[in-house]
Amino acid sequence: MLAAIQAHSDDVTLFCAGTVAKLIGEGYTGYLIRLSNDEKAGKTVGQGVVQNEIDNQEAAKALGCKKAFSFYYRNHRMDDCAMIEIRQRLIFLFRLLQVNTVFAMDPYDHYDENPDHIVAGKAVESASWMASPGGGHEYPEQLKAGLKHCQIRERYYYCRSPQGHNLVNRVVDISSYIDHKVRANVANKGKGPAGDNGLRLRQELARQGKKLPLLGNDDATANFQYVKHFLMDDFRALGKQFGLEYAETFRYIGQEPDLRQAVRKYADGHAVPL
Amino acid sequence: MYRHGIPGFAAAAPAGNAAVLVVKDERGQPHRGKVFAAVHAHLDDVPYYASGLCAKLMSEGYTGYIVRTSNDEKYGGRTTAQNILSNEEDHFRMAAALGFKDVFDFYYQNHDMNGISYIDLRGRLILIFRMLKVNTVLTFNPWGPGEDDPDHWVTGRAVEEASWMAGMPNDFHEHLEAGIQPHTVTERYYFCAQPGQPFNRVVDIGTHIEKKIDAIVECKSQGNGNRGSIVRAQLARQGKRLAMLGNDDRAADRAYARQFLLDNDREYGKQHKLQYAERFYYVDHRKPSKSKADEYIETNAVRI
Ligand SMILES: [Zn+2]
Ligand SMILES: [Zn+2]
Repeated sequence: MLAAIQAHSDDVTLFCAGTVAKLIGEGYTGYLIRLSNDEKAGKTVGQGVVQNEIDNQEAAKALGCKKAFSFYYRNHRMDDCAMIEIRQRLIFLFRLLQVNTVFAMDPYDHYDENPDHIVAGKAVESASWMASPGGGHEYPEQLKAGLKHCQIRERYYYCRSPQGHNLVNRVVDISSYIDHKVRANVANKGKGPAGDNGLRLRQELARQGKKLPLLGNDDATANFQYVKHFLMDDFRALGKQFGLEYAETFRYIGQEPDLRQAVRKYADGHAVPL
Repeated sequence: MYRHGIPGFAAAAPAGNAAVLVVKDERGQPHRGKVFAAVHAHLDDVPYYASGLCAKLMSEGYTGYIVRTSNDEKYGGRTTAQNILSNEEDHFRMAAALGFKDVFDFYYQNHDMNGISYIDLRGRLILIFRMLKVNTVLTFNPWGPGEDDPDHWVTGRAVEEASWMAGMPNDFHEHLEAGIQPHTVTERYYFCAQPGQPFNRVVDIGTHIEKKIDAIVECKSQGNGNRGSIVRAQLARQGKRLAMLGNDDRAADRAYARQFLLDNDREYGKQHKLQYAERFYYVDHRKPSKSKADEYIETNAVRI
């Protein structure tokens, strides 16, 4: 099970959608969890939250996720939220869904100006180990409600600022899943650089009696091609550095070595008769 | 923390103009199938303020659960860590003595609960109220004047809010994913914990006083539950004894509690010709099965 956690409807789609789609394609069951209500992206607050709620659902579908969740904390104000309450809810979901792998905004992403990103990353980081049996038996009432501890062994931290890339230790080839990533971004109509920008450009050119063959003959094609051609540059450039068509980069934190197993192995190898 | 000897308790006024209802034992098991949660901050809160009512409700069919919100680290006379342990152990024994089905301990920092994330506390209560399908809560009156212990009013307020929010599907909607459905808590009994706090129910606990004593004597880390045996030991060292304290520690603790720790209950009872009573501010949010609008529609709707 994987959970891709984002503060905003366009975080996962922009920065790690290819890898999420790849893992789902390789057998993972995926869940998308959005923490904010994205109220700052829309003509009115009401229209913004409704459109972004739809976008989150549609992006989850495009990625092949089983379900999408939203916590609806106020956009841009998550540094005013009680971190411990966000953590409580994440622990609940991680246990309920028996999550093994999380994707989250890197809580150490240098120079990220958005407080929602940092709060989301920190909450996921602490919830990941506290949801496990070694996490200090947090929220025992959740266990009484029938939930089980989970073991989150892998964390993929994604980040948006180039400065954050100094923490990268894993490059994922997403060439086979680039179309999933593009479709997830097209689903983001309420905010971000993707959405309906392709069809808008196509309509604008048509009004001037022109067309771009790249954008095809219908709105869906226009949106898809616009995103793939213009918005995937960063991921093409990342891929190029490693001889790949497209890539995403992460700070990856894997399973910690099992000390007890190491001790057992040593004992098996070195124990002598009394 | 329950504090003894605060003057003026018995003189506390009933709530506004509300009539005070004297509640006696009910026959049989009229509350079978119903669930209550007693939510207190400290080991000795429920034993002193409401253990008679807890025993009464359970004897009348309720299933009872107890939630302690603080870690009680400030009481016990030992190190902070040892205090947490001894209060924890006392709390389990006290809950068993009263017959609670399960115990939830949240361990928020004692005396400092006005500094915790309040919404975290509320979220945890909502999960418990939903999963246990709690009908009735017993807790501190969040609006009670004179409440100078922050753990008390924070706990009361969180319970008050969680009681209705537990019924709202959009609060903590992830609970529904786990099959835990929204559930509104409809009845509340607020403790009468300080002089001057309002009450509209006086509950006759005469037949449940032994259970109340059972609960109080388990409050050894705080609440004077072991005072009788301490006095007995002190006297023995001086070569003396008090006949009323009996021949063993358990008898001494019970006798001491009966003689010296139930003055409020006796005083509350006396005013209504009862031996022992507890006071509560009771709030009933149960809805009639049919609304006024439903009744009107049923009576007045005609064929088109
Ligand atoms: Zn964002
Ligand atoms: Zn107390």
